[in-house]
Amino acid sequence: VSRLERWLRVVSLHVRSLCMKNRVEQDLADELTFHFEQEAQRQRARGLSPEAARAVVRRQAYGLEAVKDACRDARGVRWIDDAVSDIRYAVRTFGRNPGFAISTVLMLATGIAASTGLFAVMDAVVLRPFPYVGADRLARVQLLPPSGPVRRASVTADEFRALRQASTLDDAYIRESFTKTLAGSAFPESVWTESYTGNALALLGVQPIIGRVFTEAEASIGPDPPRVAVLTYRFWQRRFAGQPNALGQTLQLNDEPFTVIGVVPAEYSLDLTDVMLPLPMNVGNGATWPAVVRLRTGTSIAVAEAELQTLFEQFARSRENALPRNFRVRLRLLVDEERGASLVPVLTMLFAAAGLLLLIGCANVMILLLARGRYRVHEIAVRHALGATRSRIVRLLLCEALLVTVAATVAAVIAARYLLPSLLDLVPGVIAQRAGRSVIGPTAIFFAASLAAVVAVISGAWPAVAVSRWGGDAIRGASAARGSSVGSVGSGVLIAAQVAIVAVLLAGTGAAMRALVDLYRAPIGYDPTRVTIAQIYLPTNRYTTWPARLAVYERLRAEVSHEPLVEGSSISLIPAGPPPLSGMTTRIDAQGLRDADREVLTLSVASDYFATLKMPLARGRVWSASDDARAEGVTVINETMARQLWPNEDSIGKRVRDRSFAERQNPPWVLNAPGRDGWFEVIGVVRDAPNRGMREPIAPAMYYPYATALSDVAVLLVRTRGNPLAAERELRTAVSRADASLPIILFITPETFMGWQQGEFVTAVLLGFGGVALLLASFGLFSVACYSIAHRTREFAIRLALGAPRSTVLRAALQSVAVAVSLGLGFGLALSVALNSVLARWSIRNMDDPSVLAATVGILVVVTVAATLIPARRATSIEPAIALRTE
Amino acid sequence: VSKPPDLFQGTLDLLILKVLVLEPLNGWAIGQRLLQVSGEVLQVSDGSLYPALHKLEQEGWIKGEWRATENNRRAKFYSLTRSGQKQLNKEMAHWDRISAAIMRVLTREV
Repeated sequence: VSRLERWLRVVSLHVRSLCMKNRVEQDLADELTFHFEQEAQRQRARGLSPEAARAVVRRQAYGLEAVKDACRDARGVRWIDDAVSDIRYAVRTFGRNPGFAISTVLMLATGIAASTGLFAVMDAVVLRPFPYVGADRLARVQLLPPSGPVRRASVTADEFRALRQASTLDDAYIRESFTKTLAGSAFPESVWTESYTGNALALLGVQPIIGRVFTEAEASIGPDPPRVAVLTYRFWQRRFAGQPNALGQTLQLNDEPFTVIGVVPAEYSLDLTDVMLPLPMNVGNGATWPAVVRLRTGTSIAVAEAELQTLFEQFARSRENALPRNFRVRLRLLVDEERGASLVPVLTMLFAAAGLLLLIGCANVMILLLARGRYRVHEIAVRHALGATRSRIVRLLLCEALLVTVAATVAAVIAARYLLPSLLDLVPGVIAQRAGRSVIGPTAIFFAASLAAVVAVISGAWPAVAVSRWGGDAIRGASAARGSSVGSVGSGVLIAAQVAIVAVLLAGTGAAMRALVDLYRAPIGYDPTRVTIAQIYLPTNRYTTWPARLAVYERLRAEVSHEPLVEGSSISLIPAGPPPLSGMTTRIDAQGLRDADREVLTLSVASDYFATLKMPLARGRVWSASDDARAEGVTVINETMARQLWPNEDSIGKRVRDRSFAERQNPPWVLNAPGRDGWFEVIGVVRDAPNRGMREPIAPAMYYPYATALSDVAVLLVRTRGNPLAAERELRTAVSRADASLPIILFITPETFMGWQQGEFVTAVLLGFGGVALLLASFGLFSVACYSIAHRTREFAIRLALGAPRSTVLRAALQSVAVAVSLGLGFGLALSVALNSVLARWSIRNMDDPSVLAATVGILVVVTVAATLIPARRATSIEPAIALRTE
Repeated sequence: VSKPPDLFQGTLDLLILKVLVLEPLNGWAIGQRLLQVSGEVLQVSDGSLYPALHKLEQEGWIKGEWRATENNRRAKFYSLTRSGQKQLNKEMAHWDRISAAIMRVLTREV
């Protein structure tokens, strides 16, 4: 109690000292006056005359102000007082010089906003990629056979029950994704659904915005779950315009009615999910699902793996053939998978670039503070003379830097907060999917604040110490020139550092542009002009026989190709599409092949695929339309495959076998043509085209008639006569003539899957950063040149008066700047080359490319000259008589 | 006049707290009391006394109140708080230990 009492008293005293300053001061004065009166009285009592007594007291009281000061210090709130007056002073200073204030705030705000924005993106993509409860303990179960690829560990309904009971796990759930056809609007729509076990949403902590989510009680294992649907925010906005009356409405998904029971926030549309449904799990029919588990808090992966190993070995004993022999269970954390994704290096690089931008901003602010400090030497000296200590002056100067930083941070956070969403809208698909969750929330604001603290120290400390020292030197009569020379060395170092950083940024930007140009120039193996593609999903439960499915595809092809807007059209089965989309990886046997077990890509395409895409044939021929219908055992291979398999022979006429026909139990959605055993005769060789994305080397590939194995997802490829996207309505109508219930996933043009967008995005961001960095650095350069010339006006005037040619003066004026710039440039180039080998690991190359480096040097030299031109003119246009008089 | 010996750091605090045990006193009276009790040895300058008082007040060990003196003058009287009493006990114990230790060192035959 007494402690609390004391604490309360202390706090109230502090508050009183701070807020009722006049009262406290008055009390102090009264107290000391009383003291001295008492003292005078005592002296009198000791027999001194009243005058003598007062004199003694006056002598003693000589230090009255010092006593007061000591008392103020003793009250322990002095620093707050000082800080308040420092801040007031700094605000007044900036008020008198708004140009300085605004430019420094803007310089820092740019860097802080960029860093904070990218931090928010990094946070959403890398640090906390999932919005789920306990997301860092979610893991996929995988089986590692002694050899061969890793397999997902799928479980039956009974096994899933057993898995959920495992002691090292919190729980397990199953998530499966399907595209389903949503009927009810002008054209059927394809929606991306995710089916979850009943326990999943509660386990993951998914909270609805409106309505509710389904629970374990209503969607238990075994009986068919109720047909309820939980919408994601984006689908709710798209389909129901965000109306709350969506609840209770019915969605016709694959001809089954689902009742909408709730909507979940946007952050749960991680993979562009539209609708979440309860997963039906039939017990006893042997169907299996891949499970995701959540480890108990504090359980190591190894311990959980050991338990699951035992569990899956039990499963293996009760199942036949379904599990590989001698497998090892591995748990793969979902966050690790996500962090290994290709996006991470790109984002890290952009984040680093934003950091460099901020460093340049800091350097600029330091330059400006130093330069301004030179004009404040007198003021500082006066402060010294009036008794301000060195540390007091340093604090005052630091306070200015702090104020700038705080203003910049507030501006940056506000800017980032409002700009980030609209910038994210410009981000291309693959990044947007993941980065869409980024917001400037508490974490990002905390990051910005910590960044600001660092920035304030970096950009404030050195100028504060240096400027306070000049003031001290000045009062001791040391030459002012010394101070300025220290300052110009300092500015020189800063200029050099800035130029080096800008050089690295420009080299990085150049490298990204080079990579992009390479990407544009890379042969794509076909003519993409006016080409558009669309995905077509056959409705489930229809076209379930091979002839029916072939008939609908053929009808579709006919309808589309008869459309007047269409120049040519074809069809391929997913995953095949136009280059550089990939095919299916399969192992093959081939005639005359020594080492068996080769892997090639297979692409199921229609006969007019090559003609539509204008892919030139190297040798042989393509199969005919009637071969399509008969699913003839013929194939066209690419040059890589021909070269690899039969380097010294003609590949035409050779026979190859797709082993998957013999090995796989075909999934229900693939219908093999009757009587096909997977043997194909090579009848043609097509020129190589990229088939594993634009950045990977071309893989051996074989194309065969699509009817050979008909899946239910196809890609329609169309070359139109006009703008392909304008033809969308006609193409949709043509498709609906073939079957009105066929849903189409939107028409896209090849640019979207060439990998160009990511390159363009990265280049655009880097270009922006590089441009701003260049602007900031040239501003710094400009101010340093201005200040150094203004400072030496008198010297130049004397030189000119003594007959020095103006060119000599000009050289003297710009020498230090030129030295700093060249040093910085050299260092920056060296750094770029050194960084190149580090970044090469992330396939970011070209930073040591001579043309990139040459461009960097060229730009920097031009900018340097431009930035120093105005100050240089000023140096040479000095009129000695006027200049000497004004000094 | 020889300068009064400097007090140990913190000793003044101890003395002030001790003097205030009996009754609340104003700053001047505290100085006089110290002088008187110490047999005119410990003369505390106002430059030390008042900052010390303010510090002790800020720490919450003593509290100041404006009251009338016997001559009916307004003065700030300091009194010991409960936590001040505790602090005094603590510091006295500490002082005992230190002074005993010093005595041991000084009286030891070398």
